[in-house]
Amino acid sequence: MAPSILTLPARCDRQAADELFPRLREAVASGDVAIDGSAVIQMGHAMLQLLLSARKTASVQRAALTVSMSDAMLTSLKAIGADHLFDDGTMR
Amino acid sequence: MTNEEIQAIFFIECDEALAAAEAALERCRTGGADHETVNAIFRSVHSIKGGAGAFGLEPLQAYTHGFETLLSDVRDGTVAVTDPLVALMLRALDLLGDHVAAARDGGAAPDDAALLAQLAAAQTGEVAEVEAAAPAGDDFAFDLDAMLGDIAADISANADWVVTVHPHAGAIANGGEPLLLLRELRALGDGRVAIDDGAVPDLDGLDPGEGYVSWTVTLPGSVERAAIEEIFDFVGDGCTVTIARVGEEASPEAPTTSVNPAPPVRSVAIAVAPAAEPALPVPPAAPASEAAAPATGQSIRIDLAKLDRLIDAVGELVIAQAMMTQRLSNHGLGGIEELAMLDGLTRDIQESAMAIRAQPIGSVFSRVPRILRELEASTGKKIRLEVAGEATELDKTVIERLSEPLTHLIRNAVDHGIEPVADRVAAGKPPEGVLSLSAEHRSGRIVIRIADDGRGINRPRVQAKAVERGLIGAEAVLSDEEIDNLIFAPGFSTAETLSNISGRGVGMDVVRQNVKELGGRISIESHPGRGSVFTLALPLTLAISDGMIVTVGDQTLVVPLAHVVESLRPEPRDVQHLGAGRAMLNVRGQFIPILPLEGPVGARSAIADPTQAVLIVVDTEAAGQAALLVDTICDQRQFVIKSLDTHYRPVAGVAGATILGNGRVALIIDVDGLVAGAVGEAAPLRQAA
Repeated sequence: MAPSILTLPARCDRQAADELFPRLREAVASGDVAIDGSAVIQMGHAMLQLLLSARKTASVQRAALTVSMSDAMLTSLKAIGADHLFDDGTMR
Repeated sequence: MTNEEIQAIFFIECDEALAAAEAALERCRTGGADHETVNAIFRSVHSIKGGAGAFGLEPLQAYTHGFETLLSDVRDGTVAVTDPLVALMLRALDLLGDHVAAARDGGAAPDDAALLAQLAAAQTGEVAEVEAAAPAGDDFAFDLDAMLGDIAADISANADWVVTVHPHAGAIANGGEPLLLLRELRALGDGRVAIDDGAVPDLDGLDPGEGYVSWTVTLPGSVERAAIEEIFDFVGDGCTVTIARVGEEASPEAPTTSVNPAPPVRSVAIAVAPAAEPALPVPPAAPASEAAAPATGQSIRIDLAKLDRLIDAVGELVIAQAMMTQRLSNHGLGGIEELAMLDGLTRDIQESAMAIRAQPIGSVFSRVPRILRELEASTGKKIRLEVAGEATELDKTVIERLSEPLTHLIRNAVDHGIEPVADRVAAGKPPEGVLSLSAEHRSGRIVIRIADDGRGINRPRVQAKAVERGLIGAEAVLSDEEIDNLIFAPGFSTAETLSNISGRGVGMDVVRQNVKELGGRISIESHPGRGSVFTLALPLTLAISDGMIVTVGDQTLVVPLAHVVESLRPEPRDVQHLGAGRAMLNVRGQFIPILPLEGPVGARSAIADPTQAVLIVVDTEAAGQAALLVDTICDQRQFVIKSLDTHYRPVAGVAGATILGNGRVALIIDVDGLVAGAVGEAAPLRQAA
């Protein structure tokens, strides 16, 4: 079954996290998920927590969760010590 | 709100911050330099710096930065709190006060280069070497333990910082973004950051508005602690932050490093801390809790004009209530329970409204250490300050107008009272003089005492000077109390040469005038060789007072209760007629003048025979006791003071007016002025018919 694909907006703030939350929960509950972060310019705290929570949930459900990142997203995550969680585009 | 208004608030906050820093430094000086106390000084200076930056007050900002840098090191423990350091910081605080005043008044910023250099030197411990001379013979003394301690301290001082950051819901609310703080933190130095996502729940348990992730950031030891704290200045309670050097324990009490609890852009003029009790009086001489952490109670700032409108409305309420009481009494309903309830509630509302205007007198007392430091420097005398009752509260207006007379009394005590060190030692006294300030509530008034343990009033010299000035006759026989009171005579000064401190020849009479204008009284108690005590008795408020309602002929008058000693109807044998219509009353062996009020207030058909009337014995500053002749005493109640100066024009012998329960205006007697004037003119009694 092809993974659900969810696209992150350029500005991943609290509002964006609130909007993504129900869709992400539904997608993870359904199986593999691919998150497209290629347009991300700004990464916020709420979105980071949402992605980390999704990782944990997917892991428990043995589903795959991959994230593709823009340079800006990668830089943001490096600055807060979270880049290693996204090493090869797959949340571990 | 305009920028000017916001800036005015900033300067009010500067004054508060300076007072808080002064109080904390005083605690340091007396050995109470704990972490919270040092932190309080840092917070004060830091908040001034923040505001100065916001308003572009560059000299003030630059100076506070230099001061704050040293304070940061003191707070971190890298610079030890020593007596010379505290002395340096007190000087730095004085200069900070000058900087604030210059910024507020638009004057030239004071020269701070030398002091900034000393502050910078103190960061390397040089203050101790410069200002605290090592004991003679110890030049080559060598303390291995101390040296090892220093080395350990140096290592500790250079250890890396470990900062933990845990944003909570509050940090994310309202568009807050904690990740920006982390980026700023990392930008301070080439550090490391570790994320802890262990607390993040799965999606079913997630609340996107909560904070689950925390970080540990390691920064180079060369980064200033203040710079780290500055990043979290305006986060408030939104983040739990700990800051410690590697090897240190993070301070457990630091749930947040919100070193500046709120930005200086609140909108109005006075801080109002919620009182546990609504009543105005505070227990007398309640000691301020030592080194107490800042109060956690919420406070708001209120425009003073709004508060004054409330006070005015309360005044009208008091009048309306009195009118209703009168009306009901006319119908035989004066004793109903509801009226008593209303009376009690009106008084409660009045006291609560007054309590909002009330401020602790500590705001005035806190300026005293600086005055004393300047006096010590200019006179070479040594003075120890003892303060009690700083928490005693009184009306803001009274506090503001109290500052000048109080300052003069303190300068006077140091200049004329406390002796030079050599004289004190020769007199067998400790070299250090003691100046005591205390405040307490007593009988609905506030009593402030300024006491010194100096030489006391030199009565022969005072009397000689009074004779020389023509204030008294050469043959006058005066009691000690009367001689002491001569120092309040206009223009009286015993200083051989006018000093810059107190002997300007405009001193004590102006002090008495200031106190009198506040509706207060001042008295002296002096013991030769042992010192003097000046006691100020002031009303708690200037708006509402207690008075005795009396009638004189066709007039109803109010005699302020503060002056009233007793009231009586004399026996014929107690009244001595002196001729020319004048009479004296014998009060337990002491004769005091009887003053009819009929003439001064323009009343008609008043009772002229003292034995048929009522005499109210009053006490005055200027002329001692006198007996006011009135027809009857009707009531004793609160009255709202309405200024005649504002609504009409000043009238001799009348302090103001009030509105009675029946809606009529009654004049309030200026007891001091009336008695002083009448005794001088020896007002005649109208012969009894």
